[in-house]
Amino acid sequence: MILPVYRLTLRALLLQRRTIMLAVVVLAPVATSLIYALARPGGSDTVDFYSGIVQKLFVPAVAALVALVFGVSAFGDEREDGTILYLVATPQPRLELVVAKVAAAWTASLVLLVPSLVLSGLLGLGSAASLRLIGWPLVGVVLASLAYCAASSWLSLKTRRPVVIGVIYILLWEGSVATYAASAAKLSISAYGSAFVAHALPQSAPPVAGLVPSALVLAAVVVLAAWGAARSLARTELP
Amino acid sequence: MSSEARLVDTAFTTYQGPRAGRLAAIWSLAHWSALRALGARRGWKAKVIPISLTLLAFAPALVVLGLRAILGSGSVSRSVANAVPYSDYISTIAIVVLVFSVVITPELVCPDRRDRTLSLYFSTAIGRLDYVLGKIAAALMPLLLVTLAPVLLLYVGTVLFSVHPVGYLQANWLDLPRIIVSSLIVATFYGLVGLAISSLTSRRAFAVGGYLAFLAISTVMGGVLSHALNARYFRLLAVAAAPIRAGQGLFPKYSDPGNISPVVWGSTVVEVCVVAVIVLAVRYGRDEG
Repeated sequence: MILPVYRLTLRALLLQRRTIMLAVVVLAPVATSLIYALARPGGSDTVDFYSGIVQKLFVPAVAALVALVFGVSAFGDEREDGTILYLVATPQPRLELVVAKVAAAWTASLVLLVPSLVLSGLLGLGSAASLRLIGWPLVGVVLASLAYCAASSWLSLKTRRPVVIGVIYILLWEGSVATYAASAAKLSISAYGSAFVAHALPQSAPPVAGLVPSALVLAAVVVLAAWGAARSLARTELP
Repeated sequence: MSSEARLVDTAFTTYQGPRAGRLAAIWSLAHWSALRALGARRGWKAKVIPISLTLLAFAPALVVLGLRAILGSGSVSRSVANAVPYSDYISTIAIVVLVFSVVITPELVCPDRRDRTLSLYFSTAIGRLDYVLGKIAAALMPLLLVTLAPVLLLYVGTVLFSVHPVGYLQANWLDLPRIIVSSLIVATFYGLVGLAISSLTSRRAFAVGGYLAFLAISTVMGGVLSHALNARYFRLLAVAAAPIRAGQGLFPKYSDPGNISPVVWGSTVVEVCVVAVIVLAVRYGRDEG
């Protein structure tokens, strides 16, 4: 049962006009790298530029926004259309439904994010491009987007304004408070995603935690959010 | 049947009450739209975010005035007053203004399109232009609450705390029009751009996401490119900062990290606003309900 829910949700998420809008969003880092590749002066530090693109644009803004929209839409679209009642009427465990939805939102996010990051890396780094420089940031984006998808799916079942609250978290907390207060960064998903970026890019800001603790924190966010979403799915008044 | 029973045909009688005119219709639309966006006549959950953001916008002014009240009129008090100059107030709370506009503007137009009430509006005395004007005014009112009101409060408080209030007013009266115009620039820019992006979709969530993406991503792109290529004019891509910089240019001692003049920032503001007006004209000029 989990597979058809996953397949149907993935199709519903990708075959929408908003996917085109999100594709425009993920093209922003590629366009930035392309401009840089065309206009860079000789001897410029390509790794420094790529580090800036990944840590200032990709992880905290592009990946966060794309995962937020897909994560919210996984349950949000069904709530809006009223079809969530048919979904919860099936004799499937709530946790399985949540796992299928989060997995679909994650896959949809990666369909857009992975090519964008790889292209940005190849264009921005030029001849300095290597598997290490592109691979570690990719791991960070993959794990952070999973955590964003799970958290936003839970949020879409808890509140009627999940995108607004998600935007406030991304902009105000992660983009402002966590940037200035080191301890606040410990409650920032993007900070743990950036820890993987920092492993490959020494120019980046000091990471909030090591690789293993960051992976554990992101995994904990996913597990807690999925459990919370399953609990909300059983208790929230639907649609 | 009672002998007093009678049939009353009132279905198509003409309106006999006072006619307030077109401006009153626009004002009514603007007034109620603004109140609704701020959460009026809705549950407490709808009020929490606008009220919290408004309080955050007032926080620097309240902190400065509170400290001045505690410290009295000594030199420490004067340096506290200089900590947040009028010219830098909006840039200090820029992120709050940005989030406020992202939250408020989609609320003004998306529900009308989603609930298909546009055709109902246009079947009344309100025309398409009136509707757009009303919504622009509706966006401006709450935005001025976070851009103009806190700075005015700081100005009034500073006048009251100064040793010679009349002397302070005589020396700094020009700051008042500067504060008003710079706040209007910021509110108009964020209001128009927010309405234009929100008019593209009926889903509030996607309007919020699209607006955020436009402001945040263009800002980061501008910063990264100008730094990497050492080309200062790439900073103009940071459209979210353009109205703030243009407003700061009205005050003396204007400085910009990239030495971009306020006129250039101002022209960026005008260009983006013109595009926003064109988008609104296209979206509301067509025959759709």
